[in-house]
Amino acid sequence: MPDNICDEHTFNEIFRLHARELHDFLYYKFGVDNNPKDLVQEAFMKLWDNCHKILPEKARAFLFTVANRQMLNDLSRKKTAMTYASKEPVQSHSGETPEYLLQEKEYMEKLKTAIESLTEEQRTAFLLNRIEGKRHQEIAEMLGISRKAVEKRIYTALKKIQERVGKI
Amino acid sequence: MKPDRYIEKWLNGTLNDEERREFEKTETYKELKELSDSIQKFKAPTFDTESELLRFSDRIKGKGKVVRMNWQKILLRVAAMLTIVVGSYIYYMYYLPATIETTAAQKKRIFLPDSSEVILNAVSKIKFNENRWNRDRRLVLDGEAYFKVRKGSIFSVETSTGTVRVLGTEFNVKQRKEFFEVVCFEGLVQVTTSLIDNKLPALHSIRILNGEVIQGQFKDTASPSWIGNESEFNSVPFSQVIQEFERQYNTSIVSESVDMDALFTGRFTHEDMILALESITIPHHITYQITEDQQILLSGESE
Repeated sequence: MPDNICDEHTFNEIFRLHARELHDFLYYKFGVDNNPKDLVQEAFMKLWDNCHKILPEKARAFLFTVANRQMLNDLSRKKTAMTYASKEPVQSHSGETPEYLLQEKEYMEKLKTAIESLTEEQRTAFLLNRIEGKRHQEIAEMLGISRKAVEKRIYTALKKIQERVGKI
Repeated sequence: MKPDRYIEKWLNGTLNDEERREFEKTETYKELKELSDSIQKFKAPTFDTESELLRFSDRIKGKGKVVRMNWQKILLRVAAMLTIVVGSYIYYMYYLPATIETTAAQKKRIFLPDSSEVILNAVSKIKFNENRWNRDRRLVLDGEAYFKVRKGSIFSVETSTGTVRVLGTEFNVKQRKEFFEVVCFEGLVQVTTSLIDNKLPALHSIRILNGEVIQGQFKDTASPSWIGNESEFNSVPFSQVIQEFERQYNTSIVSESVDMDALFTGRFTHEDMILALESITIPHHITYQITEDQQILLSGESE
């Protein structure tokens, strides 16, 4: 086991291992308009600049620490926007009337606004849990907070969304 | 179990089979299930790891390996350099002894920090530490010098043959090759060599020549004759006289059939070479000749 990650092969392996998760994390945190892919590049650049003092097993923690601290410039920051995959009409089931489709679209828009209105912390924890299926403990490690705090965030987020969306 | 507790457990995926069956019957679950399914559509877009890695590699190559100059490192380097520069400066200024030298046909008068006076004869060298004079009152002498020490001042003169320690006095030290002579004009000096450890009172001299110790006395004289631009000798081997002549006139003397061990008593001036040459050659019946390139040839009368 090398004692740093400056070696190209080692570094590439670390990139393959963590880049996607880091991207998802940043996406849920900042939304689609704040270039999560570029933020991933930046985080890895920081890792590379410090490669000589980081053990391979510490790389993941370093990356997520950087991601958690990544502050977007207030001026260039875009509103956190989420996006969803809309169903294409051709794929719609026979029973789905135009009325139903319209209703569904309305619902999705409501849901989108609800998610966007969550705080950064609530949204990150909630979506990592709901969409990526991450356990509370895993999320706690990614965010660098306690499992209890993660639980609270997810639960609060759920309640808020339910409130805003209401019943279908 | 409260409904909220079910939700919490469901969120964390920690409901056991029985609990799940129970929970799945509830209206709350149906709502949650629907909500959760809809949320799936907000999944992050696919991330092409390989192409992102390629992009990253290109960025690094364009940038080169960044060895970020840590400001602390820079500061440390600057500090180290400053230390060396300032340190050397202090060393040169305070710790390195001053060296004063004379060349052939030159005399120099210098004053020590305690206002003692030193007169340096031709081709001599004296070393002392001006800035540490109060702690380190040592002089290193190579050649000949006359010391007029301020009353009450103590210091020592080190030569290759021995050390002369003084207490407010006037004395002359001569250290030339095999020749070592201390002449005390006033007060008392302590002469220490491998052969002797003597106290030398005023108007006494001590000489070591080829390992032989010769003590002498002389009549009242204020200072050595060389101070008055004359070299005086009292039963000194002729070779020493010639060497002194070379030093005072910056010439070289080649001699032929001249008895170099013959003892010479007399003096020569530093101001007139021909007169000086006659002063040393006539008593020993030596003839001299000055060549075109200012070399002096001496020849004895053996033939």
